[in-house]
Amino acid sequence: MGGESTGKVGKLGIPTRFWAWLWLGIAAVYLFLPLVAMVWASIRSPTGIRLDAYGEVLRAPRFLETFGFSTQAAIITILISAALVVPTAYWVDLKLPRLRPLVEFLTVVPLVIPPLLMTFGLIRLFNNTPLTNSNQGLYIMMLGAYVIISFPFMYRAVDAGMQAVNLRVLTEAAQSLGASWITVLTQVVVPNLLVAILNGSFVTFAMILGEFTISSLLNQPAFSPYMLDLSSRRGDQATALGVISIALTWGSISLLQLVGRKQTFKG
Amino acid sequence: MGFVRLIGIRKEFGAAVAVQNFHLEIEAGEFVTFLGPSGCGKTTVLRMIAGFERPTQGSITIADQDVTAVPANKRNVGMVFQQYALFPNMTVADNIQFGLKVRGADKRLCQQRVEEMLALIHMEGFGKRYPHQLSGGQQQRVALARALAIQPQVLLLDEPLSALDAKIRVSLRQEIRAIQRHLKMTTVFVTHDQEEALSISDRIVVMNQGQVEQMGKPTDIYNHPQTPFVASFIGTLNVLEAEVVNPAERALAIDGQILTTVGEFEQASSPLTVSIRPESIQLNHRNGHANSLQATVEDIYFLGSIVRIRARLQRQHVNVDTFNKPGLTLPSPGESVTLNFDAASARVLQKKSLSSA
Repeated sequence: MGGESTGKVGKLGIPTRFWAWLWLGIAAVYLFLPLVAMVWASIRSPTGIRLDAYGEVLRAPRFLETFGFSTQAAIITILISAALVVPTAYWVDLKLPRLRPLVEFLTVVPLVIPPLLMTFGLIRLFNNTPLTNSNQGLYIMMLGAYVIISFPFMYRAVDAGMQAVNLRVLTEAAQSLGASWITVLTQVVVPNLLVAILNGSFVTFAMILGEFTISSLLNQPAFSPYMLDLSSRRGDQATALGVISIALTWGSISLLQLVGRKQTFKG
Repeated sequence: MGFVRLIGIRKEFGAAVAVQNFHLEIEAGEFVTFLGPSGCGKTTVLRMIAGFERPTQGSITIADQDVTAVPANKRNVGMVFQQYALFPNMTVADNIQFGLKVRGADKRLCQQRVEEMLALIHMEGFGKRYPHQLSGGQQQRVALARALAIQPQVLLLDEPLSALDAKIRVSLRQEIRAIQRHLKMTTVFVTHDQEEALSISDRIVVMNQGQVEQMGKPTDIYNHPQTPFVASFIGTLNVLEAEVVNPAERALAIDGQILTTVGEFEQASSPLTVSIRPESIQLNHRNGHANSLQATVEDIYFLGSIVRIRARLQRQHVNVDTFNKPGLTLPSPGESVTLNFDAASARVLQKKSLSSA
C-alpha cells in the first residue's frame, strides 16, 4: 500500500500518497454510501426534497415512548452492569490475578451465544415463575438479559482502564495512608476508572438502543421493534428513524470523547 | 529494645519460602536498608512491615505494639513505591492531604501540612498541578511528602529511585537522607543497588534467598564481608578460590602462588574462598606489603576517576583499581606485573551463609 513514506514515489512511479488517499476513499465510500442512501431515501418524495418523514417520526407518540423505554432500560442496565463489573474486575485484578483468563473467557460467552437462544433459555428456565407471568416480570427478565450481553463490553473497558492506571499500587498507597475499602473504592478506584466505565457505558447504550431480538421475544415496547414495525408500514419514516438513531448514537460517542478528553486534560 | 522489631519472620507463598528466620531490631530514627538481588525477599519483608502481607510465622512490633495482624490502613506507616503511585485524579495538594482527610483532619490543618510538606520537598507552588504535569523525580518527591504528611511512625521506601535517571537518583537520595535526618524518621529502604545502600544507610541488611546474609554499618559490610555472597554482591570484590597450605602460618595458595592472610581456617589442603578489594592491591610496588603475586595484564578499563586493570594469575582473574592521577603510567596488555597487598587485605570468607545476626 506504499505506506512506508509520505510524499515519496512508489515502484510504479505513482506517489505513495495517492495510494493512501485511494484506500481511505474506498473505506469512506463503503462506510458513508449506505448512510447517504438512507438520508436520500428519507427526504426524497415525488414532490421534491421534503423533511416530512422526520417531522412525522418526531411527532409520533410511539417514537418518544419506545425511545424513552429503551433509554431507561439502557441506563438501568449500565448501572447494574457497572455495579457488578467494577468490583469484580477490581477484585480479580487485586486478589485473584490467576483467575483473570477465566473471567475474561466468561465475559466473552454472551457474545458467542445468540440472543435468540439466550432468550428462549431464560423463558424456559423461568417458566411459570413471577418472571414470566407478568409484564413486569418480562421487563425484569429483559433487563437481566441486557446486563448479560453488556458484560463483554463493560468488562473489557473497565479492565483496560484498570491496567492503564495500575490500580493495585494505587490501592496499596491509599491503604498505607489509612483509607478503608470504601474510601479506596469511592475516591481512588471509581474516579480513576470513570473514563473506562463511561466507555463501556456508551457502547452498552448504543447496543441496547439497537437491540431487537430480546425485547421483541419478551414483547417489550422497545425502540428497535418499533423501527421494524414502522418499516413494514412507512418505509420513508422508518429510514428517517434509522437516521435519527444513528445521529443519537454518534451524539453519545461524541459526548464520551468530550468527557474523556476533559478528564485527560484535568488529570 | 528496638522501635521496630521483626521476630522469627517466615513467609511462604504456596510451596515457595520467600523469607525465613528473619530477625531484626530497628532503632527509632535509624535508616536501615534491605539490600539484595531481585527475589531475595527484601520487598516481602517491607510489605509485611507495611501490612500488605501477613507473615506465615513470627511477629512484628512497632513502638512496642504487636501489629502482626493489624491491617495496613490501621498501622500509621508511610510508604513510597517504585512506581510513584500518585493518585492521577488528584492535584499535588490533594495527594499530600489524602491521608489527613481520611483521618478526618480539619481543612486548616490539611492546608498547613500541605504547605509544610511542599516546602520540605522544595516544591512550593506546585500544589495545583496534576501528577502527569510533573517529572518522575518531582512525582517521587510528592509521593514522599504524601507519605510523610500523616507523620508515620515508620517510613518505608520500596526501591523509590529505581525508575529515575542516574543524576536525579543521586540528588534525590541525598534529599531523602537529609529529610530523614531532619525529621529523625525511622526508615526502611529497599534497594538492589549497592552504591545506593552504602551511601544512604545507617545500617545495611544484605539478603539472599529469603535470609539475612549479613547486617552492619556500610563500612563493615564493604570492608569486612563475611560470606562469599556479600563479598560478590558488594562492590567489585575479587573472590578467589584458594587452598590451605599451612594453617599455623595462615598461608594459602592461589593458583599455586603462596600468600598469607589473617583469617581463621582449618586443616591443610582444604579449599576456601578469599576476597581482596581491587583498590587494596598495588601494582609493581612491594612497599612492605606481605603478599606479592605474579600476574599478566589482560585488559585495561578506563572508568573515569578510576582505571581498572584486569590481570590473570594462572586460572583465575584479579581486578586492580588505581586512581586516574595525572602522570599515571599503565602497563600494556600482555605485560607481567606483580600484585602487592597486605595480609589483612586478603580476607577468608565463611563458607555458609549466616542465618541471622
